[in-house]
Amino acid sequence: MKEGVIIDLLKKLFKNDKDVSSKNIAKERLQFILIQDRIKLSPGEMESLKEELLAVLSKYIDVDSSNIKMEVDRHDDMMALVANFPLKRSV
Amino acid sequence: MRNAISFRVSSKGVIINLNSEMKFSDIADALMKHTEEASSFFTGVDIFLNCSGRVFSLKEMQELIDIVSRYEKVDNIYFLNEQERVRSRATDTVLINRTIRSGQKLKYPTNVVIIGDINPGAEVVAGGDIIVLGKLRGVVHAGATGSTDAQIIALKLQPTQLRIGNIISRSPDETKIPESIRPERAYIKDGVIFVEEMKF
Amino acid sequence: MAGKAIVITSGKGGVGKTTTTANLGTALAMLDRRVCLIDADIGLRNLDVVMGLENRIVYDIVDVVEGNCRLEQALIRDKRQNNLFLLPAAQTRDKTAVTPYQMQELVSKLKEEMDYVLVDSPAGIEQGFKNAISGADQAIIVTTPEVSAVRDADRIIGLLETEGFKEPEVIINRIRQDMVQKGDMMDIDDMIEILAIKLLGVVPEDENIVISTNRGEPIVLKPEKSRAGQAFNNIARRIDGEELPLMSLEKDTLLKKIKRIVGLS
Repeated sequence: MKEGVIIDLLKKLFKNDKDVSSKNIAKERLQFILIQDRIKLSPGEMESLKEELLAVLSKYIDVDSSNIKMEVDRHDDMMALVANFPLKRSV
Repeated sequence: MRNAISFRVSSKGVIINLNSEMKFSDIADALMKHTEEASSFFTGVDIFLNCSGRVFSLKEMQELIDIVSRYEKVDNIYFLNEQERVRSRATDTVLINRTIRSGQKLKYPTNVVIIGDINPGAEVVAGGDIIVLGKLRGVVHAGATGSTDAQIIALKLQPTQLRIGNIISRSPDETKIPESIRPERAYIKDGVIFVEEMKF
Repeated sequence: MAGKAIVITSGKGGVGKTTTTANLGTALAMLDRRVCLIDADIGLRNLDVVMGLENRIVYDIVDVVEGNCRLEQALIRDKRQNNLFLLPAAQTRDKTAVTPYQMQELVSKLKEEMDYVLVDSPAGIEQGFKNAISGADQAIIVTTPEVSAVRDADRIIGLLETEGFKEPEVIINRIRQDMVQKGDMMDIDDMIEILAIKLLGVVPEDENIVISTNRGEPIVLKPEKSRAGQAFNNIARRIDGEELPLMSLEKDTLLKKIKRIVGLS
């Protein structure tokens, strides 16, 4: 019990839990939701878009399918869908 | 019971309405009484005696002029014969057995009795009296057809606004809200809305 | 001289549009500007209550458009600032009682007399919202640091851009610096990055807002007592053209930080 408190305290003092802090969860969820809102795609359609893109790209290049990122960027009047397909390091 | 005489101030002077349904002697007495109690009530104004559709004899008119002359400094006395707009009190009554909530508006040409509250943001308009067996917190308008003898009664009178006839009054900005339930009555007196506690 | 009409909107309800409208209106009036507030939330009026003027309403916006009274008869003069007016919403009607065209006429009439016309929009994106934005020259979006509120703000920004609003600006309301520092609340940069519009101001969460609403007295009347009041005053000055740096939100002192970590505060 006492140990738990101390560990908690230490964790707080040296906290490196930035990525799991609820603000970052909020931000990520929000970004994902807004992609769908802005381009009016349902999560299902988004997923199949991702898969189809992946299938096409995989024909030509080796893609790291676990790290794909898709975002909608806004600059002034323009919106762009930015898809990020990291390449697998050639072994 | 309606009064034998009633007063109304117009831009030209003071109008004294003489109740056409009452005996001449009652009217004369009431007027006499008022001149005695309030001889300086009107100063430097013209007085219009409204016969309200009734025909007086020359003698009766002379008597009325004599009485009215007892007011201090009356400039001129005129006779009018304006039929009052239909101001007979509403005789029908509507009974409502629920609370009137914000955004709801009730409008009846009759008297209205509400068993329940009138919440803030609600509005009740009645041709006659409004009686609330509950808390009155919204806007109510009694005598909406112009009747100045309509009244508003509530077990707890905390209105946003009270309107009787064409007179509006609002609750003071700094209100101390009494916790206890005590019935109050609002009515028009001398062109102002008065609120008094009802004693039983 | 024609004034400027600004709509205050959010999409999501409960983020503080009405409080913002009441405070910015009062603050602009305190800067000696002639200001008229319009409550466009027909059927759910509230601005009158926040301003403490509910017992003075005789006519409302629907009476004006239906011709039951003249515009001047429906305007309620504020009890503290004599250059501040309120055009109240009707409570017993619904959003369809006014059309966007009527709203536009009304706003342009008021602009002739006023320096600022602030329109308090209802929540939602339906007719009430469409009414509120018609006639406005500029839009202010109010949001809070919550996923749902920011999402709705984004939707509103999109709709406003489609309607031709050039540069909508955002006010971030109810931010809690203690939670931001713990990483439990999105910070200003997070939200501005996502929404990609100009930040007009930040208002800290402040319990004095509840108290001022209870009393019907906008908090800017006593800014010395509250950080939210100061923030609204600053925003009003920015609207009025002053270049004013963003209020620095309180930085935690080391002592406070330690206290919080050990659970003392």
